[in-house]
Amino acid sequence: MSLDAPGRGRGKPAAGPGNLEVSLHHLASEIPLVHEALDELAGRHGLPARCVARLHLALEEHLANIIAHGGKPGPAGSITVRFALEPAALRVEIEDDAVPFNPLEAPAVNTALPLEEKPLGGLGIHLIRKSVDELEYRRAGNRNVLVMKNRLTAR
Amino acid sequence: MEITKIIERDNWELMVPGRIDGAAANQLEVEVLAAIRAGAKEIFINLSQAEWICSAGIRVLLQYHRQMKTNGKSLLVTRPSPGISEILEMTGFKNVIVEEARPGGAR
Repeated sequence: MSLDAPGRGRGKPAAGPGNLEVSLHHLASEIPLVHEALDELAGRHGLPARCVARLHLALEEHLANIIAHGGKPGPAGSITVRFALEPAALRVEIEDDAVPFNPLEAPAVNTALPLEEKPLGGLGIHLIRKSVDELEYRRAGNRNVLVMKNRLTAR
Repeated sequence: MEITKIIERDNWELMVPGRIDGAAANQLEVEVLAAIRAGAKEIFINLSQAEWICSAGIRVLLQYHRQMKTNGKSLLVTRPSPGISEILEMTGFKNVIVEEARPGGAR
């Protein structure tokens, strides 16, 4: 568990080479820190590219949502992302102090609508759902915790 | 990320490589707006070297696809990489936004 201030700009190993933790503020400019940490972990363990790319996308969407709609823009808010490599999956836990929000309860997007009627909003959560194998949400005290898990299969 | 432009009269091709995250989506929008201001009639977004695209990037594609179409012009994605293809498929936009392969075309 890290007691460090967020936004330090680097990931650090938590409890072994398969774990990595990154903290950031509610600033879009700090989202790349999380992508860098995932790249580092993926490189270190030779993780399958497709599994990793889908997690990059899901993280981008979730972090962008927290920062844009979480109600704590800027350096006041904090987000912690923890990566944990399991025997057959990569688990990512995203904990934030934004307003309570369960992405699993967001309404589904109808992708079959004709172009003119297609909504331009709601796509981010749709992409998260489609990009991760397992998704869990819980509210822990005053923080949101979302767990994403992708199996380490090449396809 | 660096967007490469190939301009032939009023036909523009924008090559967007790598990861199209929120920042890259903003950058893409700036380039598309510049092309529109310069009088582009056809804008092709080449995603052959792109790895993934976030929803903000997809919104840029859709918004300007619609706008160009309304004005009798076009904006289409060309040669999407397998990763991009999969994401566009997930959103139901693939058939709308991706240019059909042109036989013998270089694009």
